Amino acid sequence: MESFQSIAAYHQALAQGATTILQTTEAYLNRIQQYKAMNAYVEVFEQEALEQAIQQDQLIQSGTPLLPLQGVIVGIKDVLHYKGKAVTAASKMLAGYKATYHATAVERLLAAGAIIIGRQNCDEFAMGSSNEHSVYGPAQHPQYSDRVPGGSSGGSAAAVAANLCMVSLGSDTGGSVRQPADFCGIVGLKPSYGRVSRHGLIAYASSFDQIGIFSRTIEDAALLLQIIAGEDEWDSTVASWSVPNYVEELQQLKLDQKRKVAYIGSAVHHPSLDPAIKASFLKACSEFKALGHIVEEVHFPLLDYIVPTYYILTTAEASSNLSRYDGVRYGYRSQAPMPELSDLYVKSRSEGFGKEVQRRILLGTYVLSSGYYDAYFSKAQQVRRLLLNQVTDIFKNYDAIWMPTVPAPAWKMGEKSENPTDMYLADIFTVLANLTGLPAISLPLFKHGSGLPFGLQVMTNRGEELSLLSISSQLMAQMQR
Amino acid sequence: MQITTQELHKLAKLAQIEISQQEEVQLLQHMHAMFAMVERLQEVDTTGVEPLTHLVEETQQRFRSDELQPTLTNQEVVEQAPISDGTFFQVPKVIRK
Repeated sequence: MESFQSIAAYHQALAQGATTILQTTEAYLNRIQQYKAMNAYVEVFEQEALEQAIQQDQLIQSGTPLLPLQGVIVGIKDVLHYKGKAVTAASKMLAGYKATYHATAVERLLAAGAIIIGRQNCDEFAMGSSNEHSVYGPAQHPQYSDRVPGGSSGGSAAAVAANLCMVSLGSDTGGSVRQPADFCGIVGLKPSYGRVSRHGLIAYASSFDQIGIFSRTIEDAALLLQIIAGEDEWDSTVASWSVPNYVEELQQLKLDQKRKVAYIGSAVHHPSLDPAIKASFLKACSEFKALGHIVEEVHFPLLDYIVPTYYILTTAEASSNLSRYDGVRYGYRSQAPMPELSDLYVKSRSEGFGKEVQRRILLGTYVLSSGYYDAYFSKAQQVRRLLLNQVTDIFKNYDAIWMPTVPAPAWKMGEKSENPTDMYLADIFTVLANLTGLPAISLPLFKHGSGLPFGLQVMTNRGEELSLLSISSQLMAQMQR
Repeated sequence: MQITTQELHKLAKLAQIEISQQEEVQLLQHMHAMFAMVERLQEVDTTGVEPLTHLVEETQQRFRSDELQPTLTNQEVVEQAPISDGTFFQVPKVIRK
């Protein structure tokens, strides 16, 4: 199959008549079929995709100028509402549920001409780092079928890496876009909290959740962000920041513009960090410095408290958000005999939620229960404030913070299923951005000795996606030299 | 901090989840590991620190105008239910004679 370097290259091919949207859509549908064992997709929207492709081709033939995402093949994580289609958060609890409306991000993609080709596998309710906790079974790593693609948006990352779609949307509550992007060797962007509407995104932890983008290039991520970002009357937490024309701004970017970068010392010297990742990270730092940028190590004493803070707050929010699943109004309902109404709730929830989701609901219930609320929940909110203060201080002197994305490359399936906290601790470098609302991106810059890809994570201050994308472009250009 | 079997069941009851006897041992183990992890937070000095409750300050929140708009029809809502009579959701009887 013909593979396009970028959306811009695809649009050029369309403009020149070298391909049609229908041909391209059919090729992707075939390829998805061919790579079915990867389990990246849980449903393919074949009929709608083909119908849209024919319509989009007719628009081109009638001489209508190309829409920004016309004919672009997009996959969506199974947590985003696409009207008329099932959306289940990879959970038995939502069996049979159909979206009655479009998520705002999905609606904006469709209005920009995108073709939504299917919904993609993930960890149940976006809780997990391996895509092994899915009612549809695990998704595979795109290159090594015995390894995990990361999670929770594992299917969406694997699909972009294996060219089963051009770009995809995932969601990132604690790294669920950046970590699988790191594992699969692609770009994974989590915008600032408040940059993209969460309307139509199934909630996990509402003060952390953000829709994110998987792509193979910075330019494609920038283009998608430009389309989905901005105010929405259905989500009052979306910031009123204007949305820059990221694509044009990046085209005008001067690659030699000097930057001030901080990297977190305690992260780079952390005992859990793989030595090869550490070496590559520090090499990238010194090469960037050699080009005249400032790259300095900064002190960040709270690093080891980030994961506990994150798990207290997100499980608390999850226990509240997931209390809506009752077996009455939609989704799964137990068939067990139930003399009382409360039996209906208990049986449906116990059979409908998987073990990882149940564990997190229980922990969240605990930290919110009277007697423990102040010791855990309020305490974690206080630490969240300290973390925000610390990153705010860093941004007084620096344009960006760099960290590795994940301490180790993609692990083998089943390797971290004995003790759930092993997997939680691997989130150490990604959860900071969610706790503090920062935009963050994982860039596919490195290859491990084992052949596995891994990334470097860049963060900028809240609302500064343009700076994030610009520094990312400079870094990618430097590494490709 | 440790959690007893009894406390675990109380927690499960609050969360409307049922824990079977064969799950009990492993779940207790997992919960202990999770507690040990979050317990570390007590080491941080947070004296006088205001809890951060929202990343978006309330004054920055934007609300749409309070106008009636068509949403879903009764049929669209009820057809999602696992069991309904076409107009109402159906649940086990709650009022007894």
